[in-house]
Amino acid sequence: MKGTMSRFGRAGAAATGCLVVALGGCISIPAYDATTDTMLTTLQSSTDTLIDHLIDTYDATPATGKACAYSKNTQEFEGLRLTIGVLTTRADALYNNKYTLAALANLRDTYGSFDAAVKDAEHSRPDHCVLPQLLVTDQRALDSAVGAVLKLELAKTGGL
Amino acid sequence: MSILSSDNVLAVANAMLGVLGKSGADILAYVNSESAKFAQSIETIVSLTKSGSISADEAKLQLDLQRNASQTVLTSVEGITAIMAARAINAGLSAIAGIVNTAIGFNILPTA
Repeated sequence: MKGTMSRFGRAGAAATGCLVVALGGCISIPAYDATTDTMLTTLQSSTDTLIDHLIDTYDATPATGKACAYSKNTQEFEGLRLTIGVLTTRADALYNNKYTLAALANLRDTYGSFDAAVKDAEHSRPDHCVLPQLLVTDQRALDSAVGAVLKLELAKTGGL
Repeated sequence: MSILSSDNVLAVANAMLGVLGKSGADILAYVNSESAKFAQSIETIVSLTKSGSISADEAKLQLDLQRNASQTVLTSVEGITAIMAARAINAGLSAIAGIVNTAIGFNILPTA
């Protein structure tokens, strides 16, 4: 009997403890980070500038090689990769930020696919570049992806 | 003896729904709009592949990009939904904070 009471006592104490933890802390909401917001906005605009350049130079055929080819834009691609790397490091350092980290991992993969598509086109296509029609769809997808992570950041302020 | 009346329970529900209601509709509209964009992009990829303008390998790379972008959107929506749920729960708790704190004798719940 004593043992049974003791077990109930422990269970009761544990249940009370859970209740206190659940009620006392409320639910923690990750903090909005203005730097992440600014960096995502810059990433979106750098991406647009690069893709606009790839589209605008598709028909140009300078003697030095097509300006829309991957090898002519390696610095820009590297810049995009670097920005996502910095965003990820920052997100990882912030408390309670697992959703942003997961979204940034997907964003990194999305930019990796874009990088791979432009790189592949240089070697496999006779025009060495991704078709403008496809670049438009790429731009739309990248805009959506960056915009979604930005929305997630803004949701932390209570907005959507 | 019950601490919370049916009116208090209703206040919790209303506070939660107040947070979830509009945000839920906004999220739904957003997901619908993004889905339409992805569908349009996939249509372009299929059409260019069928016409021979791009190879199967190029189509695969393009579909990878679209899939990863969709995944980014959905992961972000998952995060937004979790934040909305947390806000709704906090609003519900806040609605009965005064009663609970008085009954328990100290401020276990933050008041608004």
